[in-house]
Amino acid sequence: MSERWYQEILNQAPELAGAVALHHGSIDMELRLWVEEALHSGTLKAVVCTASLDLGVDFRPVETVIQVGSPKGVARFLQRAGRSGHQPGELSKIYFLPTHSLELVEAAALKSAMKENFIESREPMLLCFDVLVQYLGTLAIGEGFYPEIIFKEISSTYCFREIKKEEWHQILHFITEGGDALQQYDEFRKIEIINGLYKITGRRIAMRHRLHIGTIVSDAMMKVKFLSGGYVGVIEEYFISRLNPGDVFTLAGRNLEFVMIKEMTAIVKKSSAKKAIVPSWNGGRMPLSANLGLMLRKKFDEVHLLLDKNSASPKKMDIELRVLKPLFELQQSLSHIPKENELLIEQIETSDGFHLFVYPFEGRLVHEAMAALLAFRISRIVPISFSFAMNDYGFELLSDQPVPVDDSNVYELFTVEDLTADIQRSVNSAEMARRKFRDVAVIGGLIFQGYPGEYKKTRHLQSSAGLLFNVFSEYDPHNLLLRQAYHEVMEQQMEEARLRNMLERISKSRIILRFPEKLTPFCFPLKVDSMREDLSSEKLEDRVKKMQQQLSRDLEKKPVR
Amino acid sequence: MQSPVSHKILNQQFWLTTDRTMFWEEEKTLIVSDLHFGKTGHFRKSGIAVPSSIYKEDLQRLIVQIQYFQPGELIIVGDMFHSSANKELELFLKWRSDLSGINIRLVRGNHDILKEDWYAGAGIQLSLQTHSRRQFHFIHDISDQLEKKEGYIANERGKSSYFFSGHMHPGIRIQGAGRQSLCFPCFYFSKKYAILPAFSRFTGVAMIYPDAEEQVFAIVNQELIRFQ
Repeated sequence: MSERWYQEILNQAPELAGAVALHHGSIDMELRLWVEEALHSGTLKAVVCTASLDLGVDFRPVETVIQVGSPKGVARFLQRAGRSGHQPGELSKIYFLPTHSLELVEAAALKSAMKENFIESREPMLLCFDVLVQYLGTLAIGEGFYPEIIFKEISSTYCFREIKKEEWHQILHFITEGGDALQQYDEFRKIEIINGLYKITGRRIAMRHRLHIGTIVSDAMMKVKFLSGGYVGVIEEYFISRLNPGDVFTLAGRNLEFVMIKEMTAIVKKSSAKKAIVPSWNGGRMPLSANLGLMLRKKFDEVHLLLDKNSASPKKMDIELRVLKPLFELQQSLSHIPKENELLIEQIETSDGFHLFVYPFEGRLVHEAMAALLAFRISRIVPISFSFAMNDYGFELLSDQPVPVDDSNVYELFTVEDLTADIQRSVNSAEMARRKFRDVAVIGGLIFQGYPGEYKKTRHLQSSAGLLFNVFSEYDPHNLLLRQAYHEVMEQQMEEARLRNMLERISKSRIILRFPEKLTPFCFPLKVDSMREDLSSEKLEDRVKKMQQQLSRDLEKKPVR
Repeated sequence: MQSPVSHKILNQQFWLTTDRTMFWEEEKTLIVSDLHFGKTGHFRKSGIAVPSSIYKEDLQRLIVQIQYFQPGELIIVGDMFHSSANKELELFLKWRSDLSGINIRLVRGNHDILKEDWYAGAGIQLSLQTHSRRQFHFIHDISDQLEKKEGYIANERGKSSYFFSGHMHPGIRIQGAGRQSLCFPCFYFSKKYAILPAFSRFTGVAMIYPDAEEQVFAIVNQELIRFQ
């Protein structure tokens, strides 16, 4: 996103070239340091940045922060504001620039939340075995460690105060033998036990461990270089893998034509094309916080006062809401605006298929879990496949057949009963744990990302987290890191507690089912900006055959080449 | 399990299986690619705990295929062994001596870095570049052949030829209504060459984008599903 903003600012005001810079995690380190320095000394007038400048660096000269799009939480918004006027006694100044109309409601919600000091707290993570495995490895490449001493140490921390002896033994076993089925882990070599001292003696294993210390997992990155030499920056491998030679994309503020991939480097050349694909980063997609979600729902409640002709003083309403009156009227006439104690569901049929939109306003992650859960519960009624999409306001289930949700079963579908069991069953299919496993596997040292600049020699150790996930699920389901992935999905990713609260709230709310004839203002952002997942209760073979038929129908429609 | 699926190339009868093998009926030859034997062992040796069961199962699947088709020869179009020798290869050697009746022909792939006499000792005939039988040629990486333009179409005395290759671990993405999308390993047949799926299940896939006249068989659990 920052790339696009930077480009657009320069398009609109070319005279700003030189006074504006771009800063994000994927930009070459040298350039990034230069930007930080120039910002400090005041040579730069504006920097377009991502969360990369949220923390750490001290920028006294910053006068103003402009938050583009939702900050996702009250605390985060305040934190960002605090990047300006960064010294005691100074005033911080922040502007909020919404990127679509519903974000104006967020602006109103933010203001109220700040007034009420309704700020999120931070929950610490517990029993992070991947980090423990890494920590033990780090100790082992040094002087080594004695388990009894280290157990005392780690169990005195908040994170591991509840670790069980059994789990500790399992970890020791994991780092020395590989896993519990001894025979399956023949020839495993990592940490050795020498007279009771746990130590890594292998030089290469030690080196690989050193290269992988850290707990911030980014997607596999690929260097981007010009055909003529010259280094541009790094980019997610996932993004590059979808490009064809000749495609033009934007990086570090330049339009680049993709030429080819050579030894883990994407080779590009300059392009003068007007249209370019902007890479999207999977990281940094924070979900809306519970606090902001609650405030949002309250604001929608207020909207009803605004729309009520008999209401005494609309002037007192937030200006953001007043501006959006036409949009609310459209939403109300096509469908409905949910009150604080209501849950809105819209069912719409389009050429894409049958959509079911649900708006709990609980943040993307809870919606993701909720979507999987709902899809699972519906799929118990009839065999059906969904792809689902979610944003911070709601989620969408999309199917190629009508979705059997109506007054008769809707409350049942949102029940708290059997929540944990149903989540576990829907998670398995939805593969959330699989994605979580990537982080766990990288931190726990299962994924080797290669030596810097030495791609070829280590290729025989490359594998994807997805593949490892399959192997463990099938052959070693008790694997500690695998279990942690599931655990973390439940605790953090799915925010089970929040999900439960939401369902409890819904059970006390009224569920409003609507069948609008066309897409509504509420569902629009979901249709355009969303992440997608799959869930199916049909047999895989049947699904593919169905797709095959659809495919051939499409082919028939097309004129012969 | 689904029974093998028929596929004819240049009037020869081939059978494709969901176990990622292909049987050439006239020549009684089983063709596979990218076995990557020993891969999990290398992971363990390097401190990455991958169980060996997946390797043992790969080996087992190959035995079942051999028992089913009773081929006289097994042709591997490259990457039979993942890297240098380790304990997992000892298991292979034991297995080899139990099945000494079958010829094994390996067209060397980029992963096959063992010494030539190791292959000889294991009863494996090694072809360094290509191996040919009738009008069919076996090569590990078809792009090597595509670069040598004149050799490619090779109408030797008016006879057309066909290549079998591996290396790529081809996969196909299938899209349906409701924006559903799934991805599977596959057999890929163009007019002049085929790319076989990787036999080992401890491998990923690289997407292919077939043209309209090319055929793809996606391996969906226990079924082969034909596209185009």
